[in-house]
Amino acid sequence: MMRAYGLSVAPPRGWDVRISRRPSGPHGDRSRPVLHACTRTLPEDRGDYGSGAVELLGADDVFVSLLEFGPESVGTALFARQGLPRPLPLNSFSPTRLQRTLPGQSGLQIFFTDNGRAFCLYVVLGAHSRRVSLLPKAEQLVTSLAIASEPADTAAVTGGPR
Amino acid sequence: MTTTTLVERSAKLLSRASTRRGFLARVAVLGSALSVAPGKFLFEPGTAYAAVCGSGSACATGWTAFCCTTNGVNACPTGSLVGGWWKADNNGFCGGGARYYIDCQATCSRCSSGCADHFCDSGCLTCSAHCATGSCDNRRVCWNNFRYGQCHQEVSCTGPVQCRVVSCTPPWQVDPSCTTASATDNRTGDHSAPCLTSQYWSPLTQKWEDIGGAGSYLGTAVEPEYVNPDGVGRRRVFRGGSIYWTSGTGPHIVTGLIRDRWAQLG
Repeated sequence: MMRAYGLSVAPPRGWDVRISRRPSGPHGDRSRPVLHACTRTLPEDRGDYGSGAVELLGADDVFVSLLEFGPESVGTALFARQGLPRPLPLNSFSPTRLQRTLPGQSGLQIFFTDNGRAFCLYVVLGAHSRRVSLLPKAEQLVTSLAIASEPADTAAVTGGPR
Repeated sequence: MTTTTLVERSAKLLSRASTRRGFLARVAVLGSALSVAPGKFLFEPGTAYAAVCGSGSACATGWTAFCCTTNGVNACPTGSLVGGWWKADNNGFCGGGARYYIDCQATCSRCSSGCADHFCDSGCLTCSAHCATGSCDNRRVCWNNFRYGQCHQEVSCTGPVQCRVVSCTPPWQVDPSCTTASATDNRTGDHSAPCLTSQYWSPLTQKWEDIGGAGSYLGTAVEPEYVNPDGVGRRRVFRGGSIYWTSGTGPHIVTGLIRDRWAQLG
């Protein structure tokens, strides 16, 4: 079990997981915790929505990103959905639901609120054509996620492939 | 040789066996290349287009085009809404600070229902997915159903990202609907387009460009521009050396053993 910033995850065997928080910017922007999980080894240099990692996915790989937003987002229409999306809606996966459209890949993005905290869950499958067989793999990771009501200011944690 | 002279001479070469319209278009890109990235264009193998637009400029790379390419102005087109933003840190286009990218989402104006997990059907949109036809910014338009999510959170359902705006000013200072919840993607730091004329180099990046950029003895950068440990100066490491800058000394190139010793001393 890995825990940081009020997020916890029990990654299945073979997943590389990092929970981190970038320094906040000089102009008043506030960084929030980000959890990345991937069936491949995560590169150190990654965008918050996985650029740098998603390019490495093979057809049987999955990438998951969980990003927190600020308390001002709680109660808005975009974050109206309550609780982590489980099960993941298979029909919402699409080759165009990606930050950056990469050949063959499939994506899903869901905004939600859990325990009074606003989040976005972003899932990338290595191959849209294999989404039926890849969905259980993604769900196994998402099912192991838990969000506490108050973020604990703990240090970033990493967990290499198991 | 000045930039203007270079453009004029290059234009004469291009004018041979060229239509008037094609000639004018090529001159425009040449001018942009020499103005925006003279070192990269003159000393690196490649085209003027690549020098101006940065990496990932082809449609197949999957990124979204700049609004100035599709609409002529660096602003969200009518009928779209600001859906979110991200930043690239230590960016030479914004004086070494953060460069902000603002996504303009298409709106579902032709439907009042039928939204599935934040995105409406393509039939609800007033735009359609296609590749931009800029001189080199051929990224995607109205294609990627993705949202950064910090802006207009009162709207739960939108269309794809229609195009993107770039700014050195934080988005929440431009659009009050945006929150300050930060998102970062440094891999987009060199994305650009000929129509983005408001960006400016940091003094450090300007020095690198002045000596020939990637084609100079310093070569390509190996990391973004960083603030030095003293919190005052800035530095950037290149394959062949480093450039250090403070407001008092200006930019200075340091290479070889001197650089190694400098680094050892912190």
